[in-house]
Amino acid sequence: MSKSNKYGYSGVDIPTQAAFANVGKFDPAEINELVQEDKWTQYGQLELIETQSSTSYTEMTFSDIKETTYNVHVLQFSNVKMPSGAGTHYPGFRFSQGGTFNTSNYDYAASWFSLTGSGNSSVRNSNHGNIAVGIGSSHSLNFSGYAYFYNLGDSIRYSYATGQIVLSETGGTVFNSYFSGASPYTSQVDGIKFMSTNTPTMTSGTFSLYGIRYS
Amino acid sequence: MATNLEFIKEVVLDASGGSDTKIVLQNIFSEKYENYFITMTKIGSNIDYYVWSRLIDASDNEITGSEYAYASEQLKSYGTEYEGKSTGTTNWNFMSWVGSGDEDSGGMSLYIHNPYDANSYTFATGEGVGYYGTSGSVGYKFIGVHKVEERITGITFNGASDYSEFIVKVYGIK
Repeated sequence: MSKSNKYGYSGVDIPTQAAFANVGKFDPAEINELVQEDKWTQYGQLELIETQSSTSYTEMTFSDIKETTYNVHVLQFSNVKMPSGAGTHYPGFRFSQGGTFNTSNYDYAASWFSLTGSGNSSVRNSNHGNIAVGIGSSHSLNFSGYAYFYNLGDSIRYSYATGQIVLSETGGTVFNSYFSGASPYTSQVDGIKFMSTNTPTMTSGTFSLYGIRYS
Repeated sequence: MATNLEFIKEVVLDASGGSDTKIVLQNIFSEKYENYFITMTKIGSNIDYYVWSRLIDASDNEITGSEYAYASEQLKSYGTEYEGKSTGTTNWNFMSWVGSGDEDSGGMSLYIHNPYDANSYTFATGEGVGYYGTSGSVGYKFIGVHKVEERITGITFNGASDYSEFIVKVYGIK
């Protein structure tokens, strides 16, 4: 900016600006400039990256996840339906590195409780086809939930996920599952895919991926 | 799930910045929000250990009395799960995992409810994950309560005797 009067100040003592530490009086052009430089205080740090919805799909892929902007991502998914007759469903998440989705070596554990059972049960695997959300069922399924992803843009750390779902399956059983897992590779993750290892055609589902700003 | 987050504070220890024995977040809670969201990532540690926490009172003192209760389920991709729980104890324990290798550093998401209300207990729910050596991932699903009605202004995270690196961010939930 060529103005000699900047942020309401003149002379050489112009305050340095940073998000959550803005000082001065600002005209619209200065605000626009600071927004572009990510130096303007803005609230609303749960930022929508993309929403996808479909009535017929085998997997839902996010290929522009802004992994270098966010340390923590959140995925909300709702009304995901999987039909019976396609074998056992193991829905979960895969990560891509260098544009290629890894198909194995994911590691996860999950625990659940249900309307019909007593206590809780758990499942785990250290070499799976995805970070599973804990479902292993051949029934038709309808579920919703969320997942947090950590360190996707970090090239010295593994990539991690935690989350929870609530699910209703044929026959009326309702249960929840909370899960955690990792992809034990240190390359940057540049894509997230929701899929089942049996890749059935899913008949509905809405997925919204968010980044937590400044995380 | 938060509908809107407002950034409040960060505490960052860079890998080149030495070490800390605990992570201290003072004066992060106020009358402006009832609920808070805290993320913890890039945690570097000299040992493999679980994250535990204490609250800070209105006089800026870490609360060390037997005023905490918690329950946590450990989700391991190897071996069997473990349930940690206690009441009338001196901290919230088994909140997440810190690994001693760089790649073992996972993350934690934690919600704190009603900390600044002097007439309410302070509640927490959260989840976290890390990696243990070559064994596999270690996740946690956690609930906790501080069973004294008093104003809480901050929180500490402990677990490693030396944290070499971490990023902790605090958000108010609008």
